[in-house]
Amino acid sequence: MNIVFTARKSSAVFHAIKGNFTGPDDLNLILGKGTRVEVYLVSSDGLKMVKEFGIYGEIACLEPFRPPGHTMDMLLLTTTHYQMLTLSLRLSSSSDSGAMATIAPQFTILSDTYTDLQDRHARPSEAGQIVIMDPTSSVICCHLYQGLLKCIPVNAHSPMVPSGRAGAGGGQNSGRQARPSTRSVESTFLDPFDLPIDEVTIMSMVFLHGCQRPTLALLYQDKKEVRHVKTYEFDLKNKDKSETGWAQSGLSGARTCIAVPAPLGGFLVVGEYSISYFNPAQTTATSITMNATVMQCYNHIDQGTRYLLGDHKGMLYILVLEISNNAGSSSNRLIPVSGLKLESLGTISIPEALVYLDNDHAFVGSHLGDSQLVQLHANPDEQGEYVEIMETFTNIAPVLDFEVVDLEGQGQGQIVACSGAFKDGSLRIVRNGVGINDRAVLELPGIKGLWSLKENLDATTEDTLVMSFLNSTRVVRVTPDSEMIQEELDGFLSDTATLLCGNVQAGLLLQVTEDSVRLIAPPQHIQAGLISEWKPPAGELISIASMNGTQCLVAVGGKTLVYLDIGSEVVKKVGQTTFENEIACIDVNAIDGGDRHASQVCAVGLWTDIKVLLVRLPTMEILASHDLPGDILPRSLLLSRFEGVPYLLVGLGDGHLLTFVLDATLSSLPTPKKISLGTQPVMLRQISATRAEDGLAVSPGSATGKSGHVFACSDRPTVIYSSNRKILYSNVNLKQVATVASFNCKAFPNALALVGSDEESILRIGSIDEFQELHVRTVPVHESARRIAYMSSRKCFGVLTTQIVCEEPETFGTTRIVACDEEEIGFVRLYDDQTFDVLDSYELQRDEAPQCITAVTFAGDPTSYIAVGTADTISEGVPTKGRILILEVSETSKLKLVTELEVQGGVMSVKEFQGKLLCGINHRICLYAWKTSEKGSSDNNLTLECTHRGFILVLTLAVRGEFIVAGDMIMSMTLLRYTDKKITEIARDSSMDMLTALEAIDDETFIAADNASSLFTLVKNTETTSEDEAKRLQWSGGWHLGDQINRFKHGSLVMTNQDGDAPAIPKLLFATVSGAIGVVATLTADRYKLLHKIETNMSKVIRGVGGLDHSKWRQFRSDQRTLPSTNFVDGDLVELFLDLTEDEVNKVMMGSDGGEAINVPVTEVIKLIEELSPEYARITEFESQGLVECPGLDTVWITCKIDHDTAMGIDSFVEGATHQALSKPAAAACCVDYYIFDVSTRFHEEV
Amino acid sequence: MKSGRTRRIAHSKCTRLLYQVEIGLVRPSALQSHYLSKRLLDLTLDPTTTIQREHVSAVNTIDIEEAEGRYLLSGGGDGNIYIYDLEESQREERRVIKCMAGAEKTISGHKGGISRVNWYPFDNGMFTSSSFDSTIKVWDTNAMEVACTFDLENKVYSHAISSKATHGLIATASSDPRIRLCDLKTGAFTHSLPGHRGTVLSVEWSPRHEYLLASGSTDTTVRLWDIRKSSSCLCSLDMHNTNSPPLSEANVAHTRTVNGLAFTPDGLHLVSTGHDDKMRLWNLYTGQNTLTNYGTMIRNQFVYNLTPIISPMSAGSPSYVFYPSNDRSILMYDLVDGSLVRRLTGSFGRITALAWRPRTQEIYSAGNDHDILAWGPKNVDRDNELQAMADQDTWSDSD
Repeated sequence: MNIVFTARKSSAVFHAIKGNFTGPDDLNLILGKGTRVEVYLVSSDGLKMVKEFGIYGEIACLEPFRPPGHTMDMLLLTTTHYQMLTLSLRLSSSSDSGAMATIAPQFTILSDTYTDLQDRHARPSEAGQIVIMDPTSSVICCHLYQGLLKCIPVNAHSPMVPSGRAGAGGGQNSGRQARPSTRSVESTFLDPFDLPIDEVTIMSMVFLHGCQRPTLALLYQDKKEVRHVKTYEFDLKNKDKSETGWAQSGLSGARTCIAVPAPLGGFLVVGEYSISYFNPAQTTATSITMNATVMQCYNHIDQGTRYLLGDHKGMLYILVLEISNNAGSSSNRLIPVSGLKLESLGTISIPEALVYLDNDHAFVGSHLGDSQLVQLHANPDEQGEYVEIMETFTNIAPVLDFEVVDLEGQGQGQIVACSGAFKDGSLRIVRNGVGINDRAVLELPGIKGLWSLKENLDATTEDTLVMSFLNSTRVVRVTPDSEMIQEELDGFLSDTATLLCGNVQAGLLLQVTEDSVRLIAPPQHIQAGLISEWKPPAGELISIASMNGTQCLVAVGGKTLVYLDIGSEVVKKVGQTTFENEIACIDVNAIDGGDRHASQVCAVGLWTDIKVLLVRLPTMEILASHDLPGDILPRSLLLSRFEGVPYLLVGLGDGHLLTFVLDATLSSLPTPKKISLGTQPVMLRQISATRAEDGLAVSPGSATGKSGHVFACSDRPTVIYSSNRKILYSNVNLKQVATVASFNCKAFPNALALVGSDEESILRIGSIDEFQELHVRTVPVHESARRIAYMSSRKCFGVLTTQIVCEEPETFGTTRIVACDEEEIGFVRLYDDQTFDVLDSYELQRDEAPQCITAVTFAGDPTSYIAVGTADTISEGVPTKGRILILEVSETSKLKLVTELEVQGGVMSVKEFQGKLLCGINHRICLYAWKTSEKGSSDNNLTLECTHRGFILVLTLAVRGEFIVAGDMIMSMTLLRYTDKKITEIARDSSMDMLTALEAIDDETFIAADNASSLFTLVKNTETTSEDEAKRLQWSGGWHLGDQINRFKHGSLVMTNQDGDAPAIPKLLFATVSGAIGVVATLTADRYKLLHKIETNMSKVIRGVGGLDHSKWRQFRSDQRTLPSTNFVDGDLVELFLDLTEDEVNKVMMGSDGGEAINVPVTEVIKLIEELSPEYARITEFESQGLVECPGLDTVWITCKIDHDTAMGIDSFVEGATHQALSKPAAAACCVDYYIFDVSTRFHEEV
Repeated sequence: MKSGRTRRIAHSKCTRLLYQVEIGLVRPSALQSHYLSKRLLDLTLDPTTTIQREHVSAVNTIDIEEAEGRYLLSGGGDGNIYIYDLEESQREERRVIKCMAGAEKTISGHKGGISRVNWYPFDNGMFTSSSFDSTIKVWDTNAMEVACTFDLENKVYSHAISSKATHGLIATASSDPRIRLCDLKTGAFTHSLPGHRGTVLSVEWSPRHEYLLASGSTDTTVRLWDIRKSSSCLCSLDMHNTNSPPLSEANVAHTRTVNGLAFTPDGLHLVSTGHDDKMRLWNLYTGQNTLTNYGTMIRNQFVYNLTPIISPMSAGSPSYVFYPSNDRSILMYDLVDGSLVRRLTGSFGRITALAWRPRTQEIYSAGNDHDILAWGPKNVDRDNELQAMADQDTWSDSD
């Protein structure tokens, strides 16, 4: 039982079109990204997304469609399951409610028609779906199945205003299912009809312009692979077609037809090495030749004489039709084309779709690389390129392989993925964290300290920054027009460094320098200037200071802590104490519930014997002390309150953070939690930050107490905050931050002022975007990156790449030239895990393609190796030979071939397995043991231990314990077991599917993705007594994803917040061909039941766009069967529950429209979804509720509030532990049980 | 415009195709079907599979159920019917498939040779058989008992149940020129389709239109029927494509007896075979002979029904038609261009029926030598290994 969430939406652009969708004069760019549609408005300042919506289907074709008489375009969309929809976008009327009018206008989707074009018996067309429209919009012609054209005549009297109705909620609209067969006057389409054609393999087809009747030009291939073009004329009344008699044969390599608009008419045929213009009406033909290439997409620049073309290598071309001079003669209605001109404009991402927008701008939609907005120039730049890239849209598709690694040792996984292909190949590092968007950047070297000042203590906006340098302090005010003005404050020392500066009560300021504490009245105050000053005893300096609104603590002369009370007129010493060691850090942030600006305790960190103290104010008595183990100094302290709970955070010098949960009396220091935030000293600063979701500014001085966020400055800056009483850590997408201050000014709302590292010497003001967003870093590889493996011992990644080296076209027979048949060379490349520089490369042989890589440590040999499997590239069928290479990575990060083994067949998969190497080689699985020779000699060798046959082509392997799961190209999944040096088959799946990815969820359950974009799980059949049934893996659930998964990996992108915590819920990450990253989380039966109910009810409240049905879309599909979605929950749909209006929530809970009522409190549901959802805290914690030590018994009892799965997880985690269910409280019926753990002392140490 | 992620599979190498699948240029299903179709070219008599001989005379007919592709039904000239589980010992080096159930000549069973067995398309719990004893029987698979008997009073050469329709009608081909329709729901005859002038040897339902039926007869015609209409015969196919009326007496499909019919799985075409040693492909939209030339290899003198089989259709790979020729071989043609792709030899008897098992790409054949044979894609790797082992042996010999 699983739930599937999308952690990162698909980013590959498969379709891009333009049209007037949002208004008659709006120019819109519409992108189709797999199962989603994005609508952009093209404006002078770029592309602005105005609407994004998901489709319950995978988009096969996306076309603009304007019915006769309409002023705006509709969206014509077909799915891979042969559903056709037309959609319109309209501004939602503001008359709905008063409140709506104030919100920015929202576009809603109106669905006009929904037609099912599926034909269960027909054979899908080879070239995929083709949907084209006649230029007069009188008929739509689809080629979906071989030998058939489906014609859908458009109702010439279709209504001006679409009759579809808008539904409720966030753009997921309900739509009526108007089937054209109802043939009402209103329907846009009339009855579709089939026209059989003899041409089997259709390459391309277009409707011609300027013809009396709809005329179709058809480019097809005959059995001998010769390509021809011919035209058909449609007779819509008689539902018939006739050949016009014009035809052209022997067009080798022709791929695409482009219709040339009137008045020119005719069409272009784009081939692999020539482009021709044909006009059947005039029987003219003009051709040019070009270098062999494959044009993938095209777009009209203007009415018919200029075209943009993009090829498979990522070159952009312009094709110009030259018109002969005597064209204007009135005798000839059609203007003859005298010639064609093709010019290369420059390099772009390998395009999937091109759209010429306006004013020399074009959009390049890419699947294999980043999408781009480019500007076309009339003159070339220095590199001879006419193309300038204006904007890049990150796209990680297609993800071929990835690793989940925790590079910083923070407990947070990040994905390092092999993305893209060919010249756009790259490594992408995807990680969770907080994004800081730079709003202003100032080059200011040497900032040592940074504080922001408000007008007074209770103001919510800061407008002034105080910057301390080595020997000076500067005060800068930022005006609402974002101008920066340097200010001189009376009484403010500006010729010395400042230790601390801040607002205090009565609208005053406090400045602490090395030798004085100064209370200053700001300029707007009546008596501006210095009001009071406190100086340390002569000869002693203030080293450290901390303050709040009414109190200030300074360390004087190293060991003495002085407590100063800050009144409205005077700074006065109240207490003093001296420690035996020097003070390292102090904090007096007010966290008591009562007086917001005064604290009863302060925290002090000491040098030498290294401890953290809580000191009571003003008596200066030590309340509690905690010795820090090791010799790492505390560098920064912060008393902070998260969601009402007081914490003491301690940043250590080695990048670790200690978290003490304080009790209400603030008088004891319990055992802290320790996590690593980086490697540099941690500096903690309280910041105010806005959670983008709730839109409420939580400022440090707000009434809730200083609840907010803490920024931990380090080499891995982190924002610490709390949600559901759990401390969460979000990485910030900055390299290093030395200090930070909240800077929520008018010009930059919710901004932070940050100072980077010394080398960078930059002050940046940036706003925080949403928490827990995934960030992508790109490392271009410039060749196809195919596989990746992490080698932790050498802190590097092994990456398999292939490079195209030779571009000589290969000839097949005499007629056909395949331009894309270039020779490839494979490489094993070593990348540094921090810098992502190439450390070393190992070149593979010619005629050999790398297939798989893994890091492996053999039993009896401490060295870890990289194992690479290859297959030959010359065999027509399955590979006939391949190699297993064992490479060693030296200290200096060089690759050295240790041994190689030639095998018969392609090595398609390798895995480390019980200190041995498991390889899938063609139809067999082989296990190789490592034979180490005597010391010194290097004849270590692979010896075959055992083989298991019986496959067709093993593509993927997964291992778990002694179990091996193998995925075959044809024969689905097989479960094997390795015992007694033998591999035996335990069970297999009887279906005949090709699996694109598989993984073991646990010892019993295995998940796989099939070739019809569905996920399914299989379980070992342990209950049956029948031998026959035991030998079959039982299908236990299936679900349609609508995207091809290339890899599953165990892991999580969210940080676990405790050292040694096993992940609570088994989680798998997967990545797809369209660049989506998803999470599969295993659910307990109770949770599944609840979530499934919610899902069902949700699907009735939130209707699919265009009337597509959710349950139909998510049903499991394979080549052989279609089954209802079972034991999988659509997390993305369930997640929408959190965004529903109260009314809709009620509907879902009541189970309206035939659903089942849910008898669980709404808060429980929300909590459960938040807990699971990737947008929120993804980790269910195992939160210690109590710890009772029983001395003498060697036993520790822990009561934990966790679910059953975790209990099982801990059982397996701790040897000899058993758990026992205590009670099942009624309130937590959905999921939470209490367990008691009886664990050994060994576990105690680990805790 | 074309849809995004669909490319033609060109002549490409396996490793490159796999890469194109991973980056999304080729759909995995397209690769799989491409590969499956390639495997068909390696079809050969499977030497490792033995199907136990149960019949004591010629095996006249076999059928494999569609739901699981697992159970094979055979009917022999001895009047016996047997069921085999084809998944038995599937992955062992040597497969021996034993009969799991049988219905031998009993009081309730057939008295004469079986002419055709068909699984009920929707449920393995039922199958039908026709016999030269002039009856059609409906069987309960689990009990191996007759549930219902239709007596046609004429030798029954073949019968068919529509795999699409819910009407539950069995069309029959018998020595009576009329085609009689038996209703499974009522257990009675519904109506008869008059038109043929000779013995009807084959009937097949269209997989596309539930009321469309095709029949072939000794009168050399192939007729198409819409069983709902009163004048139910739609047309008689004309091999010469003359523009004569659809039911003209002059229309003939073959110059001699027609004894085999097969619809393509998409229902757009029909294949017919006749004693004139010809196989013809008909376009059912136009009713015209496509004039596909299947050459001169076919030898067809079989006096009973002999049905060709067509491989499942998938995008991007050719379809093949398999025909059991008189010379003990199976001829494998490219359906569309008519070229002879392979000639499968190895049977010792005349092949009387073929059945297709799509999941494993196996063909099973029944022969008048009392045997059922399995034909599968040759395992190239295994051959290589055997070869390698043999090579090693020679080496050791020479040592």
